[in-house]
Amino acid sequence: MRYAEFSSTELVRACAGSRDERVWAEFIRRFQVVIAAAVLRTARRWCEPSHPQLDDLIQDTYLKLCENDSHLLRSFQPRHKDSIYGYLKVVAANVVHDHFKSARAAKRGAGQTDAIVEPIMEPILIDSRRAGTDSFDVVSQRLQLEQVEKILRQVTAGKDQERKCAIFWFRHRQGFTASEIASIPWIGLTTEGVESVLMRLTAMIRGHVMSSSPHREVKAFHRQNRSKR
Amino acid sequence: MSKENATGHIGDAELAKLLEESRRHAKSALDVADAHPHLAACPTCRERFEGLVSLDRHLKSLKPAEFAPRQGECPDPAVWCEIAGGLTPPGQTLACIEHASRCDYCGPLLHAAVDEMTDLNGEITDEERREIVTLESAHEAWQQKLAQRIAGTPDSGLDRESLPWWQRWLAVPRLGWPLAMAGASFLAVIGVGSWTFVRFSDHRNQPAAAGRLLARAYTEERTLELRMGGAGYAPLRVSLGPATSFASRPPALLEAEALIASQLKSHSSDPSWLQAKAQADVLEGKYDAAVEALQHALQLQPQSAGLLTDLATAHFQRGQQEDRKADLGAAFEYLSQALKLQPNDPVALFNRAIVSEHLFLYQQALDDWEHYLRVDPGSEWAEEARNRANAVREKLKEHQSRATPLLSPAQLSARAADPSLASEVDPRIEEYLHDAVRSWLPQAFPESKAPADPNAAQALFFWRI
Repeated sequence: MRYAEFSSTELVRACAGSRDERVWAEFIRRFQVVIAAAVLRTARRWCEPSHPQLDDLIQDTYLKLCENDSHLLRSFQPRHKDSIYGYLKVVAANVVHDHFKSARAAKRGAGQTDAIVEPIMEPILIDSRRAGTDSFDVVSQRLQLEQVEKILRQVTAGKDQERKCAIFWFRHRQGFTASEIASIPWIGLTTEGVESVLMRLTAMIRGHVMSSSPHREVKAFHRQNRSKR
Repeated sequence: MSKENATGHIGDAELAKLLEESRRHAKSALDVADAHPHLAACPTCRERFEGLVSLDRHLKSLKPAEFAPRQGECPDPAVWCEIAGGLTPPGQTLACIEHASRCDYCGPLLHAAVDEMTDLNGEITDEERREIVTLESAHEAWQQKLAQRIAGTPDSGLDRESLPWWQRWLAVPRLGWPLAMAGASFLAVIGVGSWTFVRFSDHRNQPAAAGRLLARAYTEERTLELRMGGAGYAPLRVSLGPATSFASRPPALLEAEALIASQLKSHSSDPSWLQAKAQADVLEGKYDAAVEALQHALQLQPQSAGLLTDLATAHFQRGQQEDRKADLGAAFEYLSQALKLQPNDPVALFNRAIVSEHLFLYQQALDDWEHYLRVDPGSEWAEEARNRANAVREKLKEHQSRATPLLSPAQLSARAADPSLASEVDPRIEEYLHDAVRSWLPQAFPESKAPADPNAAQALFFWRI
């Protein structure tokens, strides 16, 4: 067998559950750069890793792929030609996060001071939220969300409703930028496409609000917004 | 530049861009509107834009104000990385996306996963590459050992012929165990030590060394109109056909090829070696092989401006050799992608200007030359750029002076079967494209209830615009 001539998907299938040293040697050789780069970048979100630490994490990634009779490789379903690269990056990133999380937990358990800080990704989670406010604001915000959802459902009725609504909420509720939304493969749009959907939705909601302004719900929506300002 | 639609008002796409810009930079609607030439002058568009910005600001207040706890229906947090990487089946993805878009616990997790995947998918930097090749895990011995461990075969089952000579020698039983052990140990220490040293320095230096040789070969005998990254200036030599004898090739190219051939066997998935191979292939005129190698390299290292630029060169050369317009279009597209990643890359700018000229996109070519000359005003390449820019200006002036009106969709449709039509249209294809987007498209597919113009639709169809 000349494994070097296998496509990446064929190689993954050949490795799944295999005890053939040659197929694994080819797998490791072929995906070394991808896995090493993913390990390096993810580890740097936690600390400045040493070379032996990186080598260990790279090895752990390969071992993770073949544990439980190569469960991860067997369950891999290629969604497009290059999806194995994305898959390996995700596995490598998870291995690194798990490693540092358990290292941190072990240190906490031992009563030591944290030498390892939170990864850089976590501040996003904190930054996207503002300081807590009183319960009136929370209730008022929920009401607004429900009203906007109702209008959104009306203006997006028909084809692609789920996608349009998801784009809208990712922007206005979760604070994603248009390019971040476009980078989610399921969305299937370019940044310009997302910008355009958002603009059209905003215009449609505005049109809806303007044309039905005597409506109680809309009045309430405006009132609540004014009271917040 | 303001892009107006057929009705003379600002188009949706540009309005969307302005809205995004206003949001991203927290600019007030007035600031954006005042700075935009059309919005500043058109009260209708200005009112529309200000209304959108105002609602957008209201909607911003919908962002949650406090941490949300995890709910029972929230999926396993591990799924968000898979969704961000496009690895989950469509049905599961839809349910999770709908959930995350409205869940104040999962939404931020998906946001972080998207951010992380974007980071992981970014081009590997030179610094990272240097670090990766110096890791123990980049060495074949380490990889072989791990493969044995995974396969559970401490005694290698590999074909013995494929092993290096010193491994085969050590594996042969010898007379006198202690002597054999001592000899083997000595050889192993010397062999592994030298091997490690050579491998270490090879890994770090050889792709760069091959790159330098190729750049020298390019400059010694520049037969390509396009530039190659890292190569010094040389005037273009007109080649009368592919070099048939190795003796006619620059010695640096032969040296680079020998080095690449010796390394590619063991580094067939290293984008740097694949790129070096492709550059050598281009210099040899083997464009199919170059395209294939660069596409493989791009799979391993997506979003690499250098690889995209070289892939464009391979397509351009093939397009020139085989008179394939699609290759020229591909070259333009890859260079545009490279410039999106590195907008001031002089090689990509230089090359796109030339590709644009060949596609008769003279205005685009002139824009690129002018951009190039702002980035590199003083080198020898700049002199060539300046001369070419002047030639393009002349062509544009000539076009304008002709001032013959473009053929209408009806005239184009009527002459669809006329073989001379292509030569009439091709030199002004950019103007036709402009007209097609601005006028024919809205006429063929009107948004309002106005009747569609069948000639416009036919013209769009015939010209595949």
